[in-house]
Amino acid sequence: MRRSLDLSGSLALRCFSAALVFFAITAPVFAQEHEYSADQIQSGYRLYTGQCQICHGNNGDNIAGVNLARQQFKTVRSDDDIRRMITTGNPAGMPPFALKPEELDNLVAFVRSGLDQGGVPFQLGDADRGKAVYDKSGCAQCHRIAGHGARTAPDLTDIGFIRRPGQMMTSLTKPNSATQPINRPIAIVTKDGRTIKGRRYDEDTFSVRLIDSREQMLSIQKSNISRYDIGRQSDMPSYQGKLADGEISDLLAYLVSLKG
Amino acid sequence: MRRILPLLFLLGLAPVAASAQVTSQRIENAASEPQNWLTYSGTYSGQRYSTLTQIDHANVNNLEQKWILQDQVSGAWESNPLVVDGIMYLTERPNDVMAVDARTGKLFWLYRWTPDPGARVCCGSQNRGVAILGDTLYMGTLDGHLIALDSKTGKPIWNTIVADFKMAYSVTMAPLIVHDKVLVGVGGGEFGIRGFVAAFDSKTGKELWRFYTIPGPGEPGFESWKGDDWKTGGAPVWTMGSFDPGLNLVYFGTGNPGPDWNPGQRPGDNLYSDSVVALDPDTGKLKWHFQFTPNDGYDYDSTQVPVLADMNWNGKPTKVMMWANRNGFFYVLDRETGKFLRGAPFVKVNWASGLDPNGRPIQTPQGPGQPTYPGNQGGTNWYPPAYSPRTGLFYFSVWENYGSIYRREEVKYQPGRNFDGGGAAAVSPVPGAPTMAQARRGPIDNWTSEVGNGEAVALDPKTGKQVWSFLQYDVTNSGNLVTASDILFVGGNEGFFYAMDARTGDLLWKSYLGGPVLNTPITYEVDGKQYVSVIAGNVLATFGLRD
Repeated sequence: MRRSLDLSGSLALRCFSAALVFFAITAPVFAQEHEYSADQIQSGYRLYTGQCQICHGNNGDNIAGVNLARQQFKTVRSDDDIRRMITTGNPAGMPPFALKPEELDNLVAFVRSGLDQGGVPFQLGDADRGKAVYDKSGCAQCHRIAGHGARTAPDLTDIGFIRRPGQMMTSLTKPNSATQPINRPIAIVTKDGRTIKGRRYDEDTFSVRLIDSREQMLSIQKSNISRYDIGRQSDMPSYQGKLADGEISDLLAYLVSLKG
Repeated sequence: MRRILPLLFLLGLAPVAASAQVTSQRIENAASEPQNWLTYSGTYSGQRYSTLTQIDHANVNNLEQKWILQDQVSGAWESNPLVVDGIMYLTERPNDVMAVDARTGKLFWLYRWTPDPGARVCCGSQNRGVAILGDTLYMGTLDGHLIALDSKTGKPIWNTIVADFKMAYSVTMAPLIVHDKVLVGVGGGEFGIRGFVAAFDSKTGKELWRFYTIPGPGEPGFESWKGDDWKTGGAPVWTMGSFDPGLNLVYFGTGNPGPDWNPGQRPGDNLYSDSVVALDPDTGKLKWHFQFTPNDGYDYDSTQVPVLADMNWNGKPTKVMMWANRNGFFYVLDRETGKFLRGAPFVKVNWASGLDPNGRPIQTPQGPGQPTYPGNQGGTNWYPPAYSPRTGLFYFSVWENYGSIYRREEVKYQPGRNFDGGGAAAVSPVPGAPTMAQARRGPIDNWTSEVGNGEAVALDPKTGKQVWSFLQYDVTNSGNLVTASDILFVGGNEGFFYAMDARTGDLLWKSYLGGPVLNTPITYEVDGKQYVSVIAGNVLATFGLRD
């Protein structure tokens, strides 16, 4: 007897329950360098909605242990593994799909994009080289990874898990177009005259929680605020033109590999 | 596998008032016994108005938590409790029923029905509660059953099949008792069902009549469909209806036509989707209908609870029905005839430029990739409104500044599978910002008001004008409860539960419950003490005045 169940994925769960013996793979999966175009991603999206969504779900997380949007798989690592899985299926219940090579490429692109319906193109370089780019470009002056670096900007330790590659690509090249609303820089003047600048964690009708420029975690009642500004300009500089295209691809591959 | 869990006889010390039979006359006169909450909306009128006044403006600040009941399972908890003579009956997902001491939160019994794992529902394993008649409880199940339970033992009496879950029919609404019948509708609007409401004999479970919300060949309204579209046209019934004993009419709102997003695939008005239907409860015959959104392409289910009131309308005593619709318009109808009396948008609306003199929307579809307001989840939705005959105001929860971009695709019907014909993505300031379309929200609420916000709104039905509103940073799926001491109880997704001045919207009291308030607070009285119960997150919290 199941104590609780979310029936939205019940069909898929039933088909694939035998696959639970595998473990989710969260290690970096991008051994190769790849480029995924907007056309490929969007074509892959159409294929996905027609062929895959019924079992894998809108968000790609209907199969236990698999989260396509977050690159969590049971056995798959490389792009070729994805192609093989689609072509041959698996004994746990995934049927084989007879797709053309181009269609397989498109589906791979859509999965690697984190199921990005918008189809932002991106290129993944070499993650090891990308780490060197990260280190030399001063990213750690604001960001933090696994306990190293500043906390002014979002901690990137699991950024490859919670953001799509296309979003990170836009963050690197056009940060104002990619800043998540919750992360916009905020400036607060309290009724007792203090000025507080920082980055929001959470906000509700009555209060706002943030980490300020001195890395203090604060919770401020709105009733104590006399002025509250939410900045539209990101503090993050654009690296378009500052880094070579290959360096941006490498840096992106490094960020994608950060799974927390 | 179905069995009762042995959670009986916790202490057995506190005697509970002997429960008299809940006759249909008692339910009809529920307003005269406000200590109880005998039917989903408190009374048949759908007003969610209680005449209890012990908690008032002067003492509401003394409200304190009396007890909590923790959900035994995880997931959104949308149940609406009933209270009968000191005992609370409620459900939790997927299909558990509990009998609880309404003074202490202690369980008498728990009945568990485990739905077939092949059952399919669009939006989680919801169940919105039970109905009671005599000493029998009634619950619909996710796999399409209707079950009668002994209210004192939690043991099943009969179990009947409403519809085939393999075709993706389900029952998530609480049943409605009318006379000696149990009325229930079906969900499945995302799976190509043909919706219906059916009535069952309360003693035997035998089906007595069935009203299809999509007319068949030869029936009026059939011409609003082309070809075989009617067979898979949706129009589910998944929220509670209302009943007017004087007119002997029962009213249900119907859901979206299918496929959801592609109206071009099902040309015509698609009656009686997105409508209110007025039925004779003895026969199931249609008396009148009013369609809010013909040929809907936006998933604007009209599955709101119809709110019935008698008021002077243009100087004449009139039996009206009030309806804040998911499509963003507020309507007043004559509930004897279905005649349209008034309608106007209550949020930003761009899918229609207005309503014609008969209340039919003048549709203005937006181009591909352009935002439509209100968005997919609507200007409001299934969570119940309230109406106070004292203030004359209609209270409901609203999503402001929230739009969706729709995508339309041809889809082939496959039995029991998704039949939605595209999708909808919430308008967002940057790609990937948390929005309702992503549905899953983590323990940190990283939603921001840039993608919309919630409001508790009081509206004067006679003018259609907003009288006051209480702005919330996050959106809200909270129902409303109003009392004769002019207090509105309402919550929101942030986890706050509020008591407001029903006349002004001034905040009188609040409590943070740590999870979104879904469905609706209820109020009742035991041993001379008034209680207010509300579900938020995984907790049912019950408040009363400090002793």
